[in-house]
Amino acid sequence: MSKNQADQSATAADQSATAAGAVPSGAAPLLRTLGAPNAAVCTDGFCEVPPLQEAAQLQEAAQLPEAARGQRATMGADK
Amino acid sequence: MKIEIWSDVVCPWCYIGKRRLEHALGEFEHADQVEIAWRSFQLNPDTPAGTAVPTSEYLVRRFGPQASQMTGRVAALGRDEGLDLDFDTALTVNTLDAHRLLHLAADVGVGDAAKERLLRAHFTEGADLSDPETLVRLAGEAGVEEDRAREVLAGTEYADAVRADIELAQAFGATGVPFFVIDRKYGISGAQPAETFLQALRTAYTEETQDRGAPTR
Repeated sequence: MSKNQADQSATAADQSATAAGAVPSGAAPLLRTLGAPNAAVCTDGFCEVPPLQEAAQLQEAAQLPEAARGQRATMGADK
Repeated sequence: MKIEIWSDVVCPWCYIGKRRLEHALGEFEHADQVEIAWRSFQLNPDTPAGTAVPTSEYLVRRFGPQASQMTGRVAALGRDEGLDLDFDTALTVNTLDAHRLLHLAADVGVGDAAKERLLRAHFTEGADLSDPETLVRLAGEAGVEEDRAREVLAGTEYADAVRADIELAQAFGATGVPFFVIDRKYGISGAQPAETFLQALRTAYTEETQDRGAPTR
């Protein structure tokens, strides 16, 4: 990845965080929050689907070719 | 780059979030520099140890009829990630022992394999994660020595580590899981889309690299 590409990615992520308005629930002030504010979490046993994410995910799934959906990476090292 | 992930083995969004992060890591240019550490979080800490309640019943009892709609929607999104989340056979349990076992697995270098095995056992195979011998078998399949797993489950080993994880999550302000923390600087809450994870990884990597004064390539 070039530095320029990295900078663009960083800017995009910053904008995402800024667009969220502030710190989404789940992040303490000492952590800088990255990502969308309405992501799905389980709280106290309840695991509801954020309406916007559900719509976006279903739309994305419908557009993805089957082969792409089947590709899975593995996670990195253990602690 | 260290990613700490707070999650519970009975948390469907944690399973979905794991897959999405894996997908993002598959695209991340510096994935070889990423270390994953699983942290414990209990969604149902008040569930009595040694008991197993059908999850579908448990959810209806706690949240009413809308619970089945909730699980239906989550299962549909799980399928998009290649996961078979079967809430009809899943059993709600106290996951303290499962988490103690996960700490043991991490100590012997198979933390991720054990995490994946327990998630699949709970969500797809209807395994009773409150049953010590079931946990021993699953730990063994993940690469943990079964006698050692049995020894840990017979005592209280790693209980302090589980509690410490939960307290740390609370200190970070996490009220739900999954919850991702990169290098103790960046927080990501929830099962974000893979693209969002990827963007966050790139942001964190770029900033960390710049902070160290090194080139970003």
